[in-house]
Amino acid sequence: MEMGEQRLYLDNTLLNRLYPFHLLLNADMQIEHAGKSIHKILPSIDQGSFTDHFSIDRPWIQTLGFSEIAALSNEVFVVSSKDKTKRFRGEVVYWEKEKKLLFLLSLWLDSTEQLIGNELTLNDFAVSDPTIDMLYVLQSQKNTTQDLESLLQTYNRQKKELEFLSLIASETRNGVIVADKNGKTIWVNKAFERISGYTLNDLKGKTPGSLLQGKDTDLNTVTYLRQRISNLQPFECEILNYTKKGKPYWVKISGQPILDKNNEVMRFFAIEEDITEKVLAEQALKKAEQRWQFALEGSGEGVWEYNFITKEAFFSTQYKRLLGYNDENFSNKSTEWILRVHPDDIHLIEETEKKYRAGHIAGHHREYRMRHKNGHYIWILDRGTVISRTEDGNVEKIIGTHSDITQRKLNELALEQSEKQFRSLSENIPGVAYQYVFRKNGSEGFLYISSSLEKIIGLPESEFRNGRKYMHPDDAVVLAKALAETAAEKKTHFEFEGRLLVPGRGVVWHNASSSFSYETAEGDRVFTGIITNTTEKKRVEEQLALNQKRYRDLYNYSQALICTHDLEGKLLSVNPAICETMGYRSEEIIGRNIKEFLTEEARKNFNWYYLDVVANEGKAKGVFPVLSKENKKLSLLFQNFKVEEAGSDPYIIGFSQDITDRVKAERELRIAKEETEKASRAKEIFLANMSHEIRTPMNGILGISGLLSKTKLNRQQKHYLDLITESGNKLLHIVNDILDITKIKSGQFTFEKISFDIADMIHSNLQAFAFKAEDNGIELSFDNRLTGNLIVEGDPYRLGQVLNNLVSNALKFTLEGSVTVSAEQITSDPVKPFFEFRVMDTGIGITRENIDSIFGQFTQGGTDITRKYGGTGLGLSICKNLIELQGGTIAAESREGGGTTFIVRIPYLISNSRKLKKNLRRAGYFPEVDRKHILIAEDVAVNQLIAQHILEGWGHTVVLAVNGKEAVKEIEKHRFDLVLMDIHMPEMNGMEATKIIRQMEDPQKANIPIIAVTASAFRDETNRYLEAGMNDYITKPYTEEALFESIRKTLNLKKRQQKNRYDGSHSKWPGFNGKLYDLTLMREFGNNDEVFMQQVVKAFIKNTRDDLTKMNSAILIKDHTETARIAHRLKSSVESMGIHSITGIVRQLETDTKNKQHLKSIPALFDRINQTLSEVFAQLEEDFSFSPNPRAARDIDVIK
Amino acid sequence: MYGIVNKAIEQLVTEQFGSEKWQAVKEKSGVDIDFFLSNEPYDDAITYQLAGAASEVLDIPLNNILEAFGEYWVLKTGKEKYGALMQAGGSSLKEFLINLPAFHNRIMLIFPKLTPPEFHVSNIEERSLCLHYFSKREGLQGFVRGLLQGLSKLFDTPAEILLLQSRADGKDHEIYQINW
Repeated sequence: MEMGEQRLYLDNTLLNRLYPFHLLLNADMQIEHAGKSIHKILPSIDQGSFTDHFSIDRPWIQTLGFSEIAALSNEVFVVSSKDKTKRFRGEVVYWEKEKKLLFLLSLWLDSTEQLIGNELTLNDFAVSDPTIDMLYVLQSQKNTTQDLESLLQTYNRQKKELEFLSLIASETRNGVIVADKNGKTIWVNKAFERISGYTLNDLKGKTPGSLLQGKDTDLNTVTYLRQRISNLQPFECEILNYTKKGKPYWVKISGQPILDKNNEVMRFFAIEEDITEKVLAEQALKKAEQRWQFALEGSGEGVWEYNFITKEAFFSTQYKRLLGYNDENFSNKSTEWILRVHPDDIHLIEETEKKYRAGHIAGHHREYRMRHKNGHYIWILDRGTVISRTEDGNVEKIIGTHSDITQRKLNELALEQSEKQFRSLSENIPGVAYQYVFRKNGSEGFLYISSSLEKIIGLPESEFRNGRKYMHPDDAVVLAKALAETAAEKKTHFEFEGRLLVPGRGVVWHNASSSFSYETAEGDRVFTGIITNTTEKKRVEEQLALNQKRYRDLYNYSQALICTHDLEGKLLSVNPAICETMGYRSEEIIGRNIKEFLTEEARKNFNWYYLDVVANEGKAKGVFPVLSKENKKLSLLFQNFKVEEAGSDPYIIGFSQDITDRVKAERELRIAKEETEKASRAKEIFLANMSHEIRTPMNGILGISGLLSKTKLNRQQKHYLDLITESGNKLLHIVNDILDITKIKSGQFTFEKISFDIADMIHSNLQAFAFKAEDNGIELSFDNRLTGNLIVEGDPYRLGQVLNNLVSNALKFTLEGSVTVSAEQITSDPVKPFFEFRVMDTGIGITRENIDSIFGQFTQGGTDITRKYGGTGLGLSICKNLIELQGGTIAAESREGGGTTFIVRIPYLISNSRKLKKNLRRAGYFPEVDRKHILIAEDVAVNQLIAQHILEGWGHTVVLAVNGKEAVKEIEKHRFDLVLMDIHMPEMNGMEATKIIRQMEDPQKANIPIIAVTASAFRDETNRYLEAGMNDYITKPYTEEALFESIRKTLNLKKRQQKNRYDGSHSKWPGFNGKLYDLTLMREFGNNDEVFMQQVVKAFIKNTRDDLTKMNSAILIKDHTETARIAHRLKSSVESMGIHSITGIVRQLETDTKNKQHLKSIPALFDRINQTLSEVFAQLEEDFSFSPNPRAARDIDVIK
Repeated sequence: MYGIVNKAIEQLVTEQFGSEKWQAVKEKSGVDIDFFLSNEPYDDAITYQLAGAASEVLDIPLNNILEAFGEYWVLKTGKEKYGALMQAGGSSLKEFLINLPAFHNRIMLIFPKLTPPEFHVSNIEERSLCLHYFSKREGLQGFVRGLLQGLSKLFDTPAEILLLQSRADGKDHEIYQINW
């Protein structure tokens, strides 16, 4: 760019900053360069010529060409984009030397919205470009316009409101008057002019008060108005005023001063309502009332008036006089009346008022009492009627009269009282009063019969007058005769008793009794009397006679021995039964003393044992040993009573029973019972002893078997050892069954209460049966229908015992098919729901006859079953007892040949603890623990040996003591970490030794942990060990697991190495060589030929590695059939190589993949197998000096 | 101050607390102006009186009132009255803040009776910068903080605002550090 002499160079950056909307064109009008902002809003500007993108609006150019534009260098250019959406303003610079045109443009914006439409910001404009500022100005103007519009709207709205209010003021039918702050009238509306006749002109400059000066205008009201106005207070009043023409009218004025913000008076404002008509109507009403009142007063009645709305009342002078008052001492308050009403009658007033208010009545008529000034009550007749109502129809005013009706009321009351008395009398006599007349002309009949007749006899009066119709025929004759005699012989008394046959009542006995009352002027004789109902009396008499006969019969024919005797014991009467029992005739007994019949021994005690008791206490019971006439000794059970009746001497009545035979039988029974109890106790003692005696040698057998199994045995020896172990376990099982039953029967059974996971428990229990099931070709599965990680509280061992028993049975009685265990929560009780466990098999089933008895002791499904399948027959009985003791039930469903399902339901508490103490170790695995120094106190050599071997096998050091005494000595001399203390030892038993140890002075020795070892399994005994200071106990024969667990628990042992935690692949058997494999079987098979072994091991490693690789792939692609096939192959080689730690896992993997169950856990199982086998490979390669193959040794990737 | 500021205070109080409260604020302040015209200058004292009265009537500390007002100014008044121009100020919080000085320098000329504050930007980092605030007016720091909070919300960019120095400490201007 040239600027005079100086040259300025604009590079693109500077050009973009100064003119971000510039365009550079060459001579062909092609756009060579475009500014950054024009580029932003027209992105395609790089391609094409100027005319492809733009048109020039101004200046006018005839032909749009380079030279034409170049010629217009000083013009203002207005350029539009082709689509006319964008406009630019600027100028053009012509570069003659370069033959180029430079458009220096700026975007022209009409509104701020265009900024957003083009997505432009402040930075897109040159600093010197005022476009944005112009938009601000534009926007500010817009805002100002909006403000003004809004202001205008407000103004218009207010104007309209004002006009509306003005219209109301001027057009309302009430007069409106406005005065200035000095009280001079400045405005009145049309209505005011109409009402008053004055125009605004008449009033201008005058105060509104100047109008209130008519001849009857109340001056007091005018004064009130003046005062309120001068005090700047609102005002309201009614006043008589006069129109301009002098016509009076009533007006209601209400108004107030209008104050400004500073509480200064601006105006006065008043509304005037013409109320002339209303006032005149009220005056007319008042006059009418007065006239009416005057008329009533003249009649001697008191007049009153009451206003329901205002509660105001009016009482006339005559009204007050009735009550003993005058105008001075009786005001016009409604309370004057209501307070004098008798309290018992107030409710009448209230009820009437309610009815008035509800609009149910328009007048009333009531009688009540009011208190006279002198204190007594007078009766008032109160009448009233509505005289005015409110606009909405409610009662406003009632008016009425009071009359004194005391005398009339008193008369009425006296009459009512005498009637009541008479009614009460005739209703309450227990008979029918009547008058009967014997007329001179011979006729006769009832003159009067009281109304109680129907109640007493059951016949209405009209029927009774015709009484002979109902008379019993036998009695009718008697009655006729009695009446005839009374009439003929002029008797003064009449008496008759007879039966009426009354419908609905049957026979009614009645007695009529009357006497002569008077003779009438005509000579008729009138009898007055009473008829009573004697039916009940007659019935009692008959009953009495019947009872007497019954008692007589009872006495004579009873098998009971009945007698009476006097207070000395002398017999007064005896019944035939006594005579028969004793072998005497009655005359041989009566008159003699009871004593004479007693045995000699009883005779001595007779007085204090019997006679004194019955005389003093009124009754006695017991047994008399008596002698019959044939001198046979009899036992008589007696119960005798003293009878005291007025008018006769007291005597004794006795009832006895011959119990000679019963006494004899009871004695025999008691002897038998004592014998039985003795035998039962002996049995329990025997069982306890047997338990101990059998369990002690069993510990030897099983313990030694365990130790033996870890030594090198050939196949036959191993087989024999298995048989020994199995038989030992069976025997132990039988002993345990018998002990369980004994404990259950003697009520000694107690249950643990610990948290456990039901599903886990069942899983681990079923593991024990997996081998057996598989050996028998039976599919054993667990159908877990429990939800989530359910932790319950209860006795897991007993649940395990029950399920193990049922599963063991199921496996025993199922030859093919499956055994399924299921678990499910069946009630939704949130605290202690029921759980249902089912053990289903497809076995031989149970016959209908046997199914009811299978839960009994020593029963099985028939005796042939026992022979064929073995067992004590106690299992199910124990199960049933164990379940029922926990509040559960057990049932069986079965069909012979169609399988059996046992259904167990037990309630368990839902445990609060979500976490379980994982103390359930897997069998056969003992983590390495700190080494301890342990004293074994045990007298039986074989048991010493077992304990020693096990403990040393775990790395502990052991010292032996053969009895308690030696144990104490050892502890005094040496320091031990733990004592295994047998209970039954010679010289000093374990309990005594423990007591001595616990009292040692050295606190370390006194607190040494002691585990009791006992063959007794009775809990109350085991409790005694703990009470004696022992820390724990184990029962012989014990398993290694039990011993380990007890030691761990007692010493709170920590595992020595965390990494040795059980994970299924690092299982190590302490006491062995730390190898994960065991080639005993292989070596035996190959006669210990080393070359053979080398080949076998090599082949094992190679084949197994291949299998693992294949299995990994199969699992990855979820080919379960293939996985199962490989697992099957792997199983046999793993077993042959004695890799015991994973045989179960391989077996499970095979079962799960075969049955396509628990598929989620397959990768984890494989993971364990793979890890263990990798370690086995390494050990084998080292032991057999193979160089590991680097490629093959690589671990198979673990499937996640 | 221009009427638009007072008008915004009125709108804020009316919207949040009702027109009765606004009447009470106005009464308390002693300001007897029924209608503020957006583009008319009013005495600064009026604005201070209104803010002070709002604090007393609504029982909210003055600084909180000013903060709320600052936010309102950006999110409501700015958007309503100068929506597009606000957007043109920048497409992000950072860009807007960087443009803030130029923005105020332009404003000064457009509204000649305005005494706008002066801003200066320094220490521009990827996620923070320092904003220097020079003003002849006292006691509007809360308002500035509110404005910055409002901008943070407007651009949906949560930011931390630190007052590094202040006239209250004897310095001649305030420095805010904005971290986002």
